[in-house]
Order: sequence, then C-alpha cells, then structure tokens
Amino acid sequence: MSNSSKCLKWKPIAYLVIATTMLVFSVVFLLWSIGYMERGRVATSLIAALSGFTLLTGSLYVFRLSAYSYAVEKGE
Amino acid sequence: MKAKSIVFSTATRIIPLILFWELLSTPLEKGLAIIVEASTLLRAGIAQAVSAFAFYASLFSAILTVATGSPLLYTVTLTSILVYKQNISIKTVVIGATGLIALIVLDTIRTVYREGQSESINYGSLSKILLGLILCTSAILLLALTGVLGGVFTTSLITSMSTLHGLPSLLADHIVFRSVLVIIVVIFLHRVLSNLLEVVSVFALPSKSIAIKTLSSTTDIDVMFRAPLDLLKVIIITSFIAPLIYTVLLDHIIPATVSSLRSFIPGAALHFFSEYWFRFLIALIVFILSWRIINRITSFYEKIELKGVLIALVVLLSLIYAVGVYYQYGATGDLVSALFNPNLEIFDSEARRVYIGYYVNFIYFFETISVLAGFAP
Repeated sequence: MSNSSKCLKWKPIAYLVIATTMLVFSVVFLLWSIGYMERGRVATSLIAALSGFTLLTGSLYVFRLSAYSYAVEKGE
Repeated sequence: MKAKSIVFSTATRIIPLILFWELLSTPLEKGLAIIVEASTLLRAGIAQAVSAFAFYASLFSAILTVATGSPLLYTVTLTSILVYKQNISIKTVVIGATGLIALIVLDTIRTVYREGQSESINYGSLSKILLGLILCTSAILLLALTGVLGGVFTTSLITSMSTLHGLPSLLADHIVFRSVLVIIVVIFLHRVLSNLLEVVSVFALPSKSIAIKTLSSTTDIDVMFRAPLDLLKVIIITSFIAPLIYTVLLDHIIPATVSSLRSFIPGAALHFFSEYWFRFLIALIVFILSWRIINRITSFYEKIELKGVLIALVVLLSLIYAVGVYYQYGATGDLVSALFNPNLEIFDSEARRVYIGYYVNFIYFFETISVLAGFAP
C-alpha cells in the first residue's frame, strides 16, 4: 500500500520533469531558428522552428496530462 | 433575493462605464469634429489610419460593453484603446487589468447565482478567494510577458529575414507576410497560454469530477498526439525523396525503356525523350506522386512503431557506410584501411549531382515561362 502511494506521488512529478525538459528544449530550438535565419540558413531555420513548435506542443500535452492525473488523485 | 441579482447585473455595467468614461465622453465634448479629424487621418498614412480605426472600434465596443456587461467585449475595448493610444502609461494597464479581474469575478457570480436558492452566497474560505485572485493576477502578468516575448520573437525574425538577399527579404518587407506571421504567432501563443493556464489552475484547485470528465472525453485529451505544421514536414520530406526517385527514373529506367522500344518508334520521336520539357514533366510527376505517398505515410505513421523507424535509420546509415567502404576498397585494394576510411566524398558529389540536377529543371521551367510571358529577355 505504501509502495503504491509512493509510486502515485512520484508519477505527476516525473511527467512534470519530462514536460519541463521538452519546454526548455523547445525554447532552445526556437532561439536556434532565429540564429540560423540571421546567418542566412533559411531551411535549417525552418526545421529548427518546426522542431521547436513540435516540442512545445508535446510539452503542453504532457503538462495537461500530468495536471489531470494529479487532479484525479488529489481532487475532492 | 431579486435585489442581489440586480446588484450584480448593474455592477458589471457600472465598472466599464467608470473605466471607459474618458473614452465615452469624447464624442459628447468634440461632437462631429472627430469624424472630420478621422477623414484627414485616413489620408495621412497607415499608422494613423489604424489608430483612427482602433479609436472607432473602441468607442463602438465600449458602448456595447456598458450595454451588456460582457468581459469579452471589455477585453476587446481595452485592446483597441491600447492600440489607438500607442503611448501607454502603466496606470492605464493596471486599472484595466484590475477592472477585468473584477468584471470576470462578478460575471461568474452573476451567471452561477440563482434566484431564491439561498439567502446568501457562499464565497468559500478566504484562502481560496486569495488563491483565485493571485491566479488571476499571475495569469495577466504571464499574458503580458508572453505578449512581449512573442513581439520580440516576431520582430527579430523579421529583421533577420530582411537582412538576407532574395526571397526572404522581399517577403519580410511585405506587409501581408508580416501580418500573416503576426496572426500565426498570436494564435499559437493563445493556444500555448490557455493550455498553460489550464494546467496551473488544475494544479492549484484540483477537482476530481472535472478531471475524470476531461480525461474520458475522446475529442480533447484522449486522442493521438498530432504535431503542428504537418504540411511543412511533408514538403521537407518530399523535397528530399523526390530527387532520388527522379534520378533513378531518368538514369536507368527511362533509358532502358527507350532502348527496348527503339524498334517500335520512329527516330524523330526518340528526340523527345532528351528534351528538357520531358525532364521537367517527369520531375513534376515524381514530385506530386511522392507528395501523395509521403502524405499518406505520415497520416498513418502513428501506427508505425518507434523501433521500426530506428531500425530503418540504422540500416540506412550502415548502407551508406558499406557503400563508402566498397568504393574505398575498389580504389586502394586494402580492406582494413578501407573499413576505417570509408570514401564518403562519393556521397557528397552524388548528392550534389542528384539534387542540383533535379531542381535545375524547375529553374529552367520558370525561366522559360518568364521569357515567354515577357518578364525576362
């Protein structure tokens, strides 16, 4: 019982860590896209922007998932 | 109690009336002078025209806000006021944001409250009210911060594009492209922010029933994750794949077909197969076909396992390595040194030949079109 409750306590935090990492990487990719555009590499810049936006959407999805799974456990 | 309902309905109209009084009283003071002023402004330039338009929009929506007491119209009015004033004091922003919070709270109570259900409204504990207020304030702060960040991102993208040569700078200087870019960024930021605020509010005030309802809805969260800008991905993959197919067709399959058909068709028609019109046609058909195939593959690639993709990548890399080793072995005859020094330059030159040979067709085509249309000599 204590084991399972411990597991439940850590699950949202694990999701949060994954989502935050993805968010940080998405910001890095978006900054890279501006940097590549400044150096005239249009296609590389577009790919970096695409990766950044994809990571951002993914991280938001994981954030929402973690929030609702937290609410199912903790809500009244 | 009927009186309470009236109080809430009146309060949601009095707050915008007080806050927008300065704006609403201008027509009373100046009368028709504003319309004359606007008609001269319209001739002055686009910035003034936008400002004048924002003024009329804010006036119109301010009247509507006072009439209906809707928070949505309130934000529209606030935004247009900020657009037409252009130099904004921090006081205006703070007052506007406070009014928005008050209006949202009152509007929620007004819609939830029912006549005669209870003598008094249960506002909950003080800590929950404080939490709600803090959430509202931080939401507005986050909104302002994201707006600033989005503005910086768009501006730096446009300025870095306009320093380039050719198409990017032409695009970046055009107002339509700029507007489209700004609209895309605003829509994207809106989605990001609404998701983030939803997450924060769910973490702050978790509710089991709402969570179960959301998690079990198959239209919202329980769906396959789809990445944005699918079209761009398809374009990139297609422009990578299509030249390879085109080169294989043009170097091997078409010459073989032509030589096998040599006895059936006259010699004059054979000339057609080496014309660049024919090559352009093949290039176009290959592009469209591979576009359709890639589109079909990426639309159901959710079912393909990650393991398969990884194996395909490893196979591709080892194939490149094996071919490099083979060429090096053929050149030197020493297998051990060939294993450590695969000739990868062959790929470089081959890739240049394949991609340049493919895209040069399109350049020829557009050049011919512009010559025929009289744009170019």
